[in-house]
Amino acid sequence: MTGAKPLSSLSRTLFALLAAVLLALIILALSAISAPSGRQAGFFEMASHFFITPFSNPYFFGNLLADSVPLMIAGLGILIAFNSRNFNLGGEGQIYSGALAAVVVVLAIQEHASPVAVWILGACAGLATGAVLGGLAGILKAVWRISEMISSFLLSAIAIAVTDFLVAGPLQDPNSNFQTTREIAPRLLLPGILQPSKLDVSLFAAILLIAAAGFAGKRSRIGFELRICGENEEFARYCGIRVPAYQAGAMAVSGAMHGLAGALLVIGLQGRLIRGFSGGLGWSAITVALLAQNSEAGIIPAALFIAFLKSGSDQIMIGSGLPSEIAALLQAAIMLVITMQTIPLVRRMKNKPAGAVQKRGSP
Amino acid sequence: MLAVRMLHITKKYLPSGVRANDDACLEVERGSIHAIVGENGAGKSTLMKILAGLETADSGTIEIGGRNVQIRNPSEARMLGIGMVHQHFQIFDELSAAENMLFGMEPVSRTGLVDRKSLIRQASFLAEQYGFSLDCAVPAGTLAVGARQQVEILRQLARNVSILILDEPTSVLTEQEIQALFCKLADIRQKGHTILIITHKIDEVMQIADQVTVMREGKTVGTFPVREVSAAELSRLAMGSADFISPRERSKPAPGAPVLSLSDLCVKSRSRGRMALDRLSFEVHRNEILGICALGGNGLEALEEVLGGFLPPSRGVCTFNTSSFQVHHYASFRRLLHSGNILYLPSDRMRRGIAPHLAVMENFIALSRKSYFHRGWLDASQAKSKTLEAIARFRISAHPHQKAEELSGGNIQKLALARIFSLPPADLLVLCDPTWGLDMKTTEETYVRILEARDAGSAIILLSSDVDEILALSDRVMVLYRGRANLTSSYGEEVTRERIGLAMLGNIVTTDSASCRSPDPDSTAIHGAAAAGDPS
Repeated sequence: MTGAKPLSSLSRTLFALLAAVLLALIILALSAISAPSGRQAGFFEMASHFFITPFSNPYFFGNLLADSVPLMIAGLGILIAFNSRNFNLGGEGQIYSGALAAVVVVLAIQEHASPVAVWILGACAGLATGAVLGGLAGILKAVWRISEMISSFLLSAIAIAVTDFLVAGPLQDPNSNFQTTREIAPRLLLPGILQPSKLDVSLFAAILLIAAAGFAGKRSRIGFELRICGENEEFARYCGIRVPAYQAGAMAVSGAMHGLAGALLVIGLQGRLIRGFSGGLGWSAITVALLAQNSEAGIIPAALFIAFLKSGSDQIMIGSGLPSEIAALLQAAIMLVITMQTIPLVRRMKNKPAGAVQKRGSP
Repeated sequence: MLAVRMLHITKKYLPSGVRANDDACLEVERGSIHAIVGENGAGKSTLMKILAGLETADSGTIEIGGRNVQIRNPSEARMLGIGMVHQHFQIFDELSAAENMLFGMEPVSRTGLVDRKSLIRQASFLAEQYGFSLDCAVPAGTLAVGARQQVEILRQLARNVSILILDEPTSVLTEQEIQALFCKLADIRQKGHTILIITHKIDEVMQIADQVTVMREGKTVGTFPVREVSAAELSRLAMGSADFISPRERSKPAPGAPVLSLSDLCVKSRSRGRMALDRLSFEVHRNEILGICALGGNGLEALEEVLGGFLPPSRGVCTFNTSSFQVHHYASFRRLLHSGNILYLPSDRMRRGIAPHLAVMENFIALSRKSYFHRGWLDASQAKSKTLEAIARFRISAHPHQKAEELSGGNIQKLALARIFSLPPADLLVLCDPTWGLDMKTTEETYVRILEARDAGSAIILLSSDVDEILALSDRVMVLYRGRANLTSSYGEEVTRERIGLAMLGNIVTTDSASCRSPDPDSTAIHGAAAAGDPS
C-alpha cells in the first residue's frame, strides 16, 4: 500500500496521551475562567497541583505508587484474559471478595501465626476466591457458551452484594463507627516503603509477577497454547488444543489476579476491609490493560499513568478547591481519549479472524 | 488498438534488493482477455499492482490507450479506468452486496441519508446489465464465494473500469463457479472491456484467454496468441529448465492392509432435513491414495469436517488399523488425530490453517508442540533452526519471526504443507486441496512428496475439488453426490475425466461406458443448472 500508513500502536498511544494532557489543560482553563474569583485557585496553580504535586515529595509519590500496585496486578489479570480472547468484566467483585477472603483468613489465624504465614495464606485466600469467581464464568462459557462478559459481570455483582452484607453484618467491627471489619494486628502487615505513604512491598511482588507472566507467555507451552486459543480458536482446535480448558483456565487466572490484588490491599497498610473500598479499581484495571496494548511490559507504565491521573485529580481537589465533579470530569475525559485509541485493538480481539477466503461453502 | 502498454518496467523491493520486475514489457489489445502466467514469485502480481497504482515502478513507462501516463496511486489508476480484484476479497461482510458494490458512491436522498431503495435498485440494475444473478440486498458475508467475487467485479464495473485486473480469480472457486465466472468474463469482454487475468493454471489460460504473456523471474518471456501455442509449451516457458517430473510414471507398491475403514457414516446437514453424508462407507489401505471429489454441497465439506475432527457424525463405525469403535465416541477418533496417527491438512488454511498474528515459527511448531517444548518450556533455538530448515526445503519466502498474515496465499499453503511433512510419518494422511494456490513447480514437488509418503507406507485420503489433481494422484477414486458415493472405482481400474464429471453431476455411471441414467427426476434440474460445470 502506498499513501499514508497507519500509525504504529506505540506512536498512537503516545499521541493519545498527548491529546489527553491537552484536554486536561483545557478543562482546567475553562474551570479557572468560569469559577467565581477567590473561591478557587488560578489556572497555573491548578495545573501545577495536577502535574507536579504528585511527584513533589516522597509521601505523594509513594501514594501514587501504592495506587498503581493493585492496578498492575488486576491489569495483568485482564491482560491474561484478553490474550485468550476473553473479557473479564467482573474485576470489581473479584477484588472486593478476594480482599474479604484474605481478611477473614488472616483474622482467624492472626493470634498464633508468623507474618510470612499470614501473607502467604492471605494471598492464597484472595487468589482462590478470585479464581472461583472468574473460573465459574469461564466454565459457563466453555460448557454452555454463555458470554463471559455478562456472566462475570453478574457474578461480580452478586459477590459485591454478599461482601457488603458480610462487612456490614456478621463481620462488622463492634468498636468502629464505619462499616468495616476488625483490624489485622499491625505487626502482621506487609512492611512499608517510603513511610509514611501507604506504599508497601507488594510493589515488588507486582513487578515480579508481571515479569514472570511475560516470560511464561512467550516461552512456556501453556502461554503458547493460550495465545493460539486467543488468536484463532479454529486453528487451536486443529492443533489439538483443548480450547474449553483454556477458556475456563484463563478466566480463573484472571479472577485469581484480581483476588490477589484485593488481598494485597488488605494485608498491606490498609489492614482491614472497609465497605466499598475497591470503588472503580476493577474498571480502571481494564483501562490499564487496554492502554498496555497486549504487552505485559506495557502494564507498568499504564498502571502508573492511571494512578497518576487519580493522584493528580485528588491533589487538585484538595489543593485548589476544585469541585470534585470537575475533578471526576477531568479524569473521565482523559480516560475517554486514551481508551478511544484502543478501539481497533478491542475490535480485533472480539472479531473472529477475517476469514475472507473460504474454499467451499459450509455443509 | 492497444489498451495497455508497459515498457521496461523494473521494480526492486527494498531492503532485500530482489528484482520483482526486471525490464518487463507488456502489450494488451483492447477488448481482449489477456492472461499472465508464471510461477509464484515470477512478478506477475507486482506488474499488475504497478498497473493498478498499488506499487510504483522504479523505472519504465506505461501507456494507456496510447497516452503516456503516470500512475502513482489507485485513484489515479481508477481515473484511467483501471481496477483490480484481489485474490483475497476486500469485502465488508456486514454490509449488503449493494453497499459493497457502490461503496463511496451511494445515492443520497434529499435528507442527506443514503437512499437504500435506490441503492439496491442501482446495484441490481448493474448486476442485470452484466448478466449476474445476485441478490443485492443480503449481507455480503452470507453470499457464496463465487457470488462474493461477483460483488468485487461489479464494484469495479460500477466505477466505469474498462481495464479489469483479476488476481488468481479461480483459486477460491469450485469447478462450477469457475465455469460460471468464465462465461461472465466472456460477456464482459463483449461489452468492450479489457480483462487481465493473473494465473498459474495453464489449462484455464487455454480455455478463456485470447492472448497470454509468460513471466519468469521478473521478466516477460513472451506474448502469444493462445491459439498458436500448446499448453506444454507454455508450462515449459514458465518453468524455465524443463525439470518436469511426471509423477504417474513412478512404480507403485501394491496396497497393503486397511488402515481406516468407515462404514455407514451419517452426518446430519446443518441447514435442511437432508443428510450431508448418507450411509457412506469406504476404506483406505496402506500404500494407497484414495481420491474423493464432489461438486460443492454434496458432502465433501462434511467429510472433511468429520475426518479433521471438527464434526461428530451422528452414526457410523470406524476401524483404525485393528481397533474398531463407534464413531459417535468421537473423542477416540480425535485422539488419533492429536496423537499423530492421522495427519490432516485443512482446505481452508486462512481460517483453520494459521494463526494470522503469530509468527511463522510459532505457526510452524504449533502441531508438534511436544517436540519443541521440553518440560513445558520452549526450546527457541531448535524451533528456529527447524523453521529455517523448512523454509529452505519448501522454498517459503518468509522469515521465522514474520507474522503469518503477511505471507501470500501460496506461501501460507507451503507453510501448512511444511508443517505436515516435517512430522514423523503417520498411518493416515487426510489432505484437502493440498496444492491450492501453488505454482506448477511447487505443485509437482508436493505431488512427489505425497507419493513418497504413500510409498513409505501411509494411507492417504485426498479430498479435492480439482478433478485433475484427483486424476494425477489417486489409486482409487470415489465421487460423492448428495452425500452418497456415486462412483467408487476399484484398484487398478482406469477412470476417465468424463466418468468422474458425470458422476459428480449425479448420473449413475455403469462400469465401462459413459452410458448413464438419471437417478431421480429432479436431478435433471441439477444437471441443467450445473451444465456449465460438466467437463465432458
